[in-house]
Amino acid sequence: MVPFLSFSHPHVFIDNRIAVVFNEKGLKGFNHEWTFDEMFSSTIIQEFDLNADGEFGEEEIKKVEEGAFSNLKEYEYFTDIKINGHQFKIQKVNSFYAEIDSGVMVYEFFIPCEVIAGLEKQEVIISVFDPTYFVQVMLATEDPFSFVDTLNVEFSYEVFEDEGNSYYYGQIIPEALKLKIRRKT
Amino acid sequence: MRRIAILISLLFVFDTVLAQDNPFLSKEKSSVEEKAKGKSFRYPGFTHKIMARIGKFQRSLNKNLSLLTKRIKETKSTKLLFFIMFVTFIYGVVHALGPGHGKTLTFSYFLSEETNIKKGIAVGCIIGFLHATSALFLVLLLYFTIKKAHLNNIEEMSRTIKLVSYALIAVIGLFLLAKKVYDIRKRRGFKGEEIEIQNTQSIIPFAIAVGLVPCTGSTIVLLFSLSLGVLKIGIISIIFMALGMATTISIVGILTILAKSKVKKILSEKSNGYSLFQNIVSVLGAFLIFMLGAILFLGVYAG
Repeated sequence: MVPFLSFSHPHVFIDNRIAVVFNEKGLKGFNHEWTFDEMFSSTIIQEFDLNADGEFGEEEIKKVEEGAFSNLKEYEYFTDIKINGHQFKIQKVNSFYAEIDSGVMVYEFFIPCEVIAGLEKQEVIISVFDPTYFVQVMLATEDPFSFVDTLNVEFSYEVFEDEGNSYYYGQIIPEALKLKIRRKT
Repeated sequence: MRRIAILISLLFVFDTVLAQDNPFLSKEKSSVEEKAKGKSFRYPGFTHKIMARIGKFQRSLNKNLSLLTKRIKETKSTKLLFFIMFVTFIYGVVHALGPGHGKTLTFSYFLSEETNIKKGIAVGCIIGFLHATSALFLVLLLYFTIKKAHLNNIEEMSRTIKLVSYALIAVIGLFLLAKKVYDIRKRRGFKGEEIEIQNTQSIIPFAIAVGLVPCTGSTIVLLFSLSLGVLKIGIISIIFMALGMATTISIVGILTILAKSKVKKILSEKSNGYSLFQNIVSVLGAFLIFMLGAILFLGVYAG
């Protein structure tokens, strides 16, 4: 009778790109690149591009971080990471950067998440979503993933529907990246 | 009765919160997360496929809206203006389907009150338009006074408005509850005789209390148009968004009224059931309004 009542509305849309960063020991962490929709971008740009030059300067980036990013800590940066099935708690993020690209705002930041690669395969899953659905995070349609400094690791990955992280009463299932890594022999 | 039960559970699940907090700005952590992640209730598997489509659909509506606004600014085309009216109307319809926008409250109200379809539509329209007007008022006020219409300070002001709105809702609920209980006792006084108590209750205080909270979606559209220097297009956009939201809320009202009258028709064949049902839903509806108002108020106040 009222099936249509179940639709929800996000206010903000993010296209997400994830760079998987390795080091000599194994996994180093993930670099997020969030491209916002133009409308939400404009509201933040108006507030933080104080000299209105269409760019975020160094000071302005700091203000953006304080005013429109750091609060996401409460939401664990919309990022859910599991290492071999165990929940990984995000302690901090670093290298926050914000820019304006023809009217559209882009955030970049790094989530340290170290996993030492051994001879056994290890599984890391990363899923990005806002469980309150204020924001709709989607994987970017072009090149959503990249892999950096892969010299010392062997890895494979797949994208899957992360049902364990479904939210809004199972109505929305985020797309997640499943990564398998081990030391290069 | 089963339909009613389904209706209740559906509305509750999706509309437990009247307005969401912006995770980028809000200092208070929303409790929605815990609720929404709860495993107590889950929708069947196919819904997420529909939701994924709707998500993409909204995304493209949003994109179209910003593109159209820019185009109209450049070309001043009237044809595109009509197109933007259409897009924003649909955006409003879909937008109000989500959590918030007072659907549960509207449902509870019509559960409690004896009304007709006309009133259902009126409530939808008042809530929808006030919702958008409130956003417009805030944006303009801040823009013309301190020249700083930012999402941040708008949300701060909305917090105060929310408190007022939720307090009013709780008071209205309490008032309705008292009235219903009083009516039932009065009716009991005349044994055997069915006394129709005239309902002169005005829908306006309720609709105003609910609609008062500014709509974040409209605020974002307005701020965007302001940033391009085409406030007029923004205003036209939110008028049609309001019309779309009004449509959705009206439909909720109408469905509630229809479902209730259908149940009543079935029950009227059994004399006892009718008045019992009438009493239960009217008290329940009023109680729900009070509870929701109180919960929402405390949620914002404590935050």
